[in-house]
Amino acid sequence: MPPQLSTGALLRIMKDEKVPEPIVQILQSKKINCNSDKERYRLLISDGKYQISHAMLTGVSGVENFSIIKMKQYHLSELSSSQKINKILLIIGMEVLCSMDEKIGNPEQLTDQVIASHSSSEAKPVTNTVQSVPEQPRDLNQSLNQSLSESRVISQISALTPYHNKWVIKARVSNKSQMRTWSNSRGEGKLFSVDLMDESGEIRCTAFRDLADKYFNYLQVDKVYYFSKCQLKPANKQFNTLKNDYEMTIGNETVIEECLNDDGLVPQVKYSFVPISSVAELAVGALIDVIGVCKEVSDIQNFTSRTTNREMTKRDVILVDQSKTSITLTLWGSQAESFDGVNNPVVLVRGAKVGEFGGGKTLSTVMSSQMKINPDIQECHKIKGWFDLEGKESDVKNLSERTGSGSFQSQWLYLKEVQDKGLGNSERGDYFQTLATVLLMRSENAIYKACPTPDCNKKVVDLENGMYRCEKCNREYPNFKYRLLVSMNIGDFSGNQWVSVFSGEAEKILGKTSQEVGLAMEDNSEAGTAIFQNANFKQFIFKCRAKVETYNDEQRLKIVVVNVENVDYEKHSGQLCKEIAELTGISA
Amino acid sequence: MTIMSSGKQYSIVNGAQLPSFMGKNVSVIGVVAKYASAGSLSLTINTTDNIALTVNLNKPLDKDLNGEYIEVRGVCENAREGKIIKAEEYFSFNNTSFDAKSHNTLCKFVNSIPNGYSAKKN
Ligand SMILES: [Zn+2]
Repeated sequence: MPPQLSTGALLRIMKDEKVPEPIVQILQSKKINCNSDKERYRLLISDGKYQISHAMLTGVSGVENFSIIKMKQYHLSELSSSQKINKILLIIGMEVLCSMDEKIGNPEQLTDQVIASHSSSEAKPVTNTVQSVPEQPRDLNQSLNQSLSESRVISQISALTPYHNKWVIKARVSNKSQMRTWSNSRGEGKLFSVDLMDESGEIRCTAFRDLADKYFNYLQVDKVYYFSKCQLKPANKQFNTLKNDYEMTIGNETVIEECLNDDGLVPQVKYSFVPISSVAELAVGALIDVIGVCKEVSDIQNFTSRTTNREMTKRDVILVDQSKTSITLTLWGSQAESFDGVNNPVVLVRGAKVGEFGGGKTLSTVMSSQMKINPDIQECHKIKGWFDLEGKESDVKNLSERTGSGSFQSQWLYLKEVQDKGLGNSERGDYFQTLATVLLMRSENAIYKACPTPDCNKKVVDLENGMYRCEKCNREYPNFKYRLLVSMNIGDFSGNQWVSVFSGEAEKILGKTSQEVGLAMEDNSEAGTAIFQNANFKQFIFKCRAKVETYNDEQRLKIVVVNVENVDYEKHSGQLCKEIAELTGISA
Repeated sequence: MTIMSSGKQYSIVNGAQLPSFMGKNVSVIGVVAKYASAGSLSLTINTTDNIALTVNLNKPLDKDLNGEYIEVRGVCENAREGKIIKAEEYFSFNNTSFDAKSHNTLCKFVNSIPNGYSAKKN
């Protein structure tokens, strides 16, 4: 059996009491480079209750970690640095009693506060009680909440550097990641991180392996904690977008405890909610805060990722807000599995990522996204109230709709910009909308005879015997219907562009059905041509899909009008004013 | 920015901008604030930035006006309290719905952004 440690001895020594030949454990020793030929070691030593890192050993040739020693000769030396006096425990003579291979107990860092809090009281009998922060937070909270808040100057997050390790910060957890596991040639493990904020700034704090387990449930989003003794290192900007040059890691010596009376001095997590309708104008990849009512929810979908070959789980949630716009939010993994869409919950996502699919905008959660269901904040109550009163029944614009019709999501471009920006090179084509004037609608080859079955629309072959053959249906019909495929030139102040228009949209421009146009052309081509001429110089908002296509090894930009809308001038002038304001910096 | 009419140029302004256009030709759009019967020689309008303005006409009104938007072109005779325009012409838009907000924004823009298309060489 190892010799009993002199529990509490270090506290007494640091208070300048004489303790004869105390028995302590060396937790760590590190050789210090110095010019003298004597060897020196910096030690982390423990008496089972407390540990100190400012101890030094001289005159010996090293000592193994976890050895238990008897300090035969030692003294306390005061070392004054820039502003304060540090006490260093110099061990001059010692005897190794036995070697061990692990730490005894769970000693607490012997801070100035602990020493100060004991300085007025009489030396108490020390016990072997081991305290660990998360398991028994209350006891420590009593002491440290007091000592930390009263006697210790709280550092600001923005002032933390790796060159300074005596600090305590008081910070709110603004974000907590999920527990992640890794596995590579060197082993495997798990980690999670929290984002901390105070009035000065923010910082990421990561815990690994058993410390990740220890703190994962203890640290909760929105709560305020005191943190000290974390290790700082330069932030990895590839994974960490917080505004801080450093990030920190929780170590064995780290002390974290919840601040019991959140006095409101640490700022609340602020959200800059983006109305769903505005997502239309945001770039793909942007991270936004969004709050919406879950209007619909899809079943959970399991699939194998083509790129990583991993099993993936996702769920789509349709969110709607007071902008009367809806958007699809995709949740992944455990968030998808545990999501409950019953009773239209309010969903808040901090840091949702904007995506695009088939011309529509979407949102999804990423690793750093934080999701809350029915959070107790004003915005949540407001939006719930709106939804129950009117939102449930009102018509909403679906921003995630794929064709781009009927909504405002595609980018506004002038015709010259379509060329200048080199649109049409993405796989699914690029969508844009433009306000333009019809300069010419070609009546030549604008109509064709199509299969009469409602959903077919395939061009038929006139067998010249009163029958019309549809290759797609593989049938002959005694009749056909007229369809339109019009080539049209549209223009604005910047340029003009040839575009193709199919029946549905061409009918809106011509103000006649395809059948009416076809029959008019058949009876009297002059009257038919007049229908096309009447459309000239009319203005519309055209929503278009641009795609570069290859004909005979030649690349051509093909633009198809997917939607034609009459101009809402009031809305459009609002759009223009917004653009001018952005360009000039003069507020509208 | 100005508009041409009958060989004259009128600056497009709102009510708040009038003090910079004292004695000059201006074009102001507003809603007729008080019932004015045919034959009247004076009108009160509220501009798109909601400033009351007296319009003195050079010929009697040819119809009753109330609540309609009109454009008035004339000389700004008083730009302080009790603003007055001596109108040379006016146009009734014959409706009560007008995008006043956008017009007011336009006034701000045209009087603060240099005209890149102007043929004048300074
Ligand atoms: Zn067919």
